[in-house]
Amino acid sequence: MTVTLQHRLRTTLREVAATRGVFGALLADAGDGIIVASSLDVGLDAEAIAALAAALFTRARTASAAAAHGDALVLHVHAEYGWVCVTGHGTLVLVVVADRRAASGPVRAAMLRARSALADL
Amino acid sequence: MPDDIRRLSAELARDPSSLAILTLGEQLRRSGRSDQARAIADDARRRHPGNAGAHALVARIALDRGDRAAASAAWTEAARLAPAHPDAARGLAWLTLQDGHPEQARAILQRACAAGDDAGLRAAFDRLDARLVADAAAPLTAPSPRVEPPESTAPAVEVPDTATSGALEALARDAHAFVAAVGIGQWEAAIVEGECGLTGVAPQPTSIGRSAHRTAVAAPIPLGRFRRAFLSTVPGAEPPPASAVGGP
Repeated sequence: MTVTLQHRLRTTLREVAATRGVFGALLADAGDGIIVASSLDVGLDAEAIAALAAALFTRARTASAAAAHGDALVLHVHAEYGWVCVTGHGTLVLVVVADRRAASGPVRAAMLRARSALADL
Repeated sequence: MPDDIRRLSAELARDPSSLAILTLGEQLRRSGRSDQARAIADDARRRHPGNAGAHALVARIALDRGDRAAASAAWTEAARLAPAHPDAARGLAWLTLQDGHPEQARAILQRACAAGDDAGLRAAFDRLDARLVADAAAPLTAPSPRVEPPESTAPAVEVPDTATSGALEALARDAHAFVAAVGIGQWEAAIVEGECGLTGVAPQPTSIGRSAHRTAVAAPIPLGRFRRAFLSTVPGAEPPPASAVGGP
């Protein structure tokens, strides 16, 4: 990976992670789930999250296609103490972990912007 | 639609007792002016307490706002006034079904069908009846029965077909593991935002202690609206506060 590409990936990640209510974000390879870049808190198991996120987003794409809703843009997973957004494009998957009370609009908008950025890489 | 609202408002100003108030309330509701719609609906109910349509309007607006108790009370009153009222029957059946009581939902539709002659209501009853027969044969594998919410109640989340349900079941398994890895408690729902629609899956405990999942699909509607509608159908899952819901 070139320095320029690495820089652009980190910039994309930083912009998403700066969104209000977001705890952290990571980029992973969609094929093998290996971390490409991460800003997740130390307490989170980034490697496990990256590995599972790639498979999870593939499931989301399958479900969206089965429902004739086209490609999956964003997967939102809600839980007791937080929610996670996953999106992907090409060979990359982007994961964002956010506070449960975070406004979904800005986080979603940041995800979609990042998705477009991934497409341009 | 703004022209309709102006025309109906003018008509109501000329004759405050006009039933145009019901149409005006519905038009305001459909145009997203929820506060005004609620005020008009409350006024309609005060002016026409014996009109089932006024209570049904109050119920639809209450459901839009996530107030299931108020919606249920208003539809109950509408059904008391007009036992064959299709909107009241469908609304009550839909709420009852979402609460996990399909037999009660069937009874509600059956009573309304017996009291009147509405083809749409009859079709809803037949669909639910057939689904319950299928569920009796395969209680944990068949998708949940489907009763459409009242015609004008948005958003309409629907039960997906078998292929989509299967894909969502697989997604549910991975979502469970994923949330455990992230360490943010129990998962409550996974919603896929596709290019032209939304799909969702959420855990749902059964009466015999085995896990099952509730699934839903919807046309492209705002994400926050889908999320509120979908999570409100899942026992134990609290939708996030309205202030935290942005959406597209």
